[in-house]
Amino acid sequence: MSLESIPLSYYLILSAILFGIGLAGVLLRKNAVTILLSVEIMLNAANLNLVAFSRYITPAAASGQIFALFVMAIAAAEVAVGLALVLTIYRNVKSVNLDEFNLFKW
Amino acid sequence: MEWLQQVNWFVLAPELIIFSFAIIVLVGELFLSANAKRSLGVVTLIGLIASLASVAGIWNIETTQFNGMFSVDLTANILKAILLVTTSLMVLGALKSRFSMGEGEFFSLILFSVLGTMFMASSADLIMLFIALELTVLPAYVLTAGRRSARSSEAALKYFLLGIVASVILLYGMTLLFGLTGQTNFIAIAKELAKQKIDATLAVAMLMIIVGLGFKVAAVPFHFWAPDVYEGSPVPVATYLAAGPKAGGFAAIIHLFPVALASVKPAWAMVFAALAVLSMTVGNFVALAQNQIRRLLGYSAIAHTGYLLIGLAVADQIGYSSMIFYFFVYSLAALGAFLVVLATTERGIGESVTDFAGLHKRAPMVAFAMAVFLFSLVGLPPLAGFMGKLFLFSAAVKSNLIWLAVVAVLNSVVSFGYYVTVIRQMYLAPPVTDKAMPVSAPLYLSIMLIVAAIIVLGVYPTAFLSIINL
Repeated sequence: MSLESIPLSYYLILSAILFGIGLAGVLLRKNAVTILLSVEIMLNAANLNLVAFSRYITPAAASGQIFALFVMAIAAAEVAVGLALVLTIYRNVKSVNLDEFNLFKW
Repeated sequence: MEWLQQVNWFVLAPELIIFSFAIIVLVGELFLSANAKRSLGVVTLIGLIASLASVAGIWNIETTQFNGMFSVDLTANILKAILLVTTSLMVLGALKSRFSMGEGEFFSLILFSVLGTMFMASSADLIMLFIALELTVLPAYVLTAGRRSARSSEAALKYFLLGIVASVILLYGMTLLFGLTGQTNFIAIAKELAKQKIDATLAVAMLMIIVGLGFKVAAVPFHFWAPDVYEGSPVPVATYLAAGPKAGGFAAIIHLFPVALASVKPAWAMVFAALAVLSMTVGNFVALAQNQIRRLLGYSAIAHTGYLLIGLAVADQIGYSSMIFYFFVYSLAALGAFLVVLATTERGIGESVTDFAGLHKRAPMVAFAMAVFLFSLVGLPPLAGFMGKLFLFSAAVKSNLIWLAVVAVLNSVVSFGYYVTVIRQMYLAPPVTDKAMPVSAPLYLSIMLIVAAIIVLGVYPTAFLSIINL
């Protein structure tokens, strides 16, 4: 079975499901590292979109796939900064649970 | 390597200068002695001014580079100039400050963030826009965590988590836009969209992009990070954040929406009008209840995002030009107010509004400057804030958005309430001590330059308006 026999909409549905799982993780989880992981799932949903669109809509140009490559590089940079921030807050508060970060009030 | 010769490196000079100075300052942090590192702030200042000069050199050039990814035009140049002026003033003010991180680290992170914002102002392509946006905010997250305290790292973590979620939502919207058109260039996207019927996917893409960029400019309901970050980050960083990254957010909006999404202009203009009303009202009313000066300025910043979004609700050239003028005026006043906070906190004065009691006896010129900044934020004549608001609100009236102008004027009246409490503390409350409060020379110079700029722009705005072709 060749790749093209799968319609584009299947990829888009998968991507939307991944995005939803990630968003649910961001909204419902309290652990900073888990939220970071959920964001990674959302980023990969966007990447899947880019690559699928690139393959089906603009098969002659590679701009979507190049975009996905850049997004991966940025995701790596984001995780590096994010884990460093989680580490600093762990040193100060001894927790990575968002419920315990409540110094700021309205 | 033929493509290397096709690029006009001259029009990239502002970015190249900032990039080289960022590297120089970073390497300087590694190899210089602790004493020599103190001069890195001056090196940064030289870089910013050199870059500003090169922006002036390419002021009227209109061109695109790298296959249309990087656009040089008047709007981009104006925004870059505003960014460089405000950042220079901030660096000048912070020259004598003590940083809990190395000087080189601090200033090179600032320069990298400025570089990202400059690329954002020039981006004409989705890929470029996304990378530039990340380059702007990643150093800002690190800078926010710069103080070794629970508050600083908590503010940074909130900023980071909300920031990346907003970035991902923005990115997903961009991928949908790419899927609809098969293009990443703004002009090419506009051409494709003009041929198509408006459908639900486009609406979803547009809304996701608005959510992502709305977060960057701290519009309600995506504003939750702003007061925490302004309050929790080190004071020089808060000073930078008050002006810098916001310029990028507005630059991105001005480039993306009127160009790429021209075919659905009424829809996004309406959304921006709603965001403007929400941001103004929530920002001003919550600010009334604040007693911590930086948090108060944070909510004031949200309210001002609301005023600025009026320019996008108007959605014509007059609207955008008035918005850029008001952005300049606002960022000068906000920057000045944060520099005054920097001056007082450096002398051990606390950050609550009551700590400003009797400031005019201890430092008359600084108290006067703070009063000028706050009155400019309210929009009292003859200060620059008045002219800015006048242009912005009359642009709204001209395009039949009278209700929006009325809401904005009412909001300005409300905002008087919290700005005047600070002024009353400074001038009418008795001071805790009569001892004079010294201010370091560069910080004093920076504050006075901003006072002069605000008065000149208020009395004679034509000088600036003729430069930006309003």
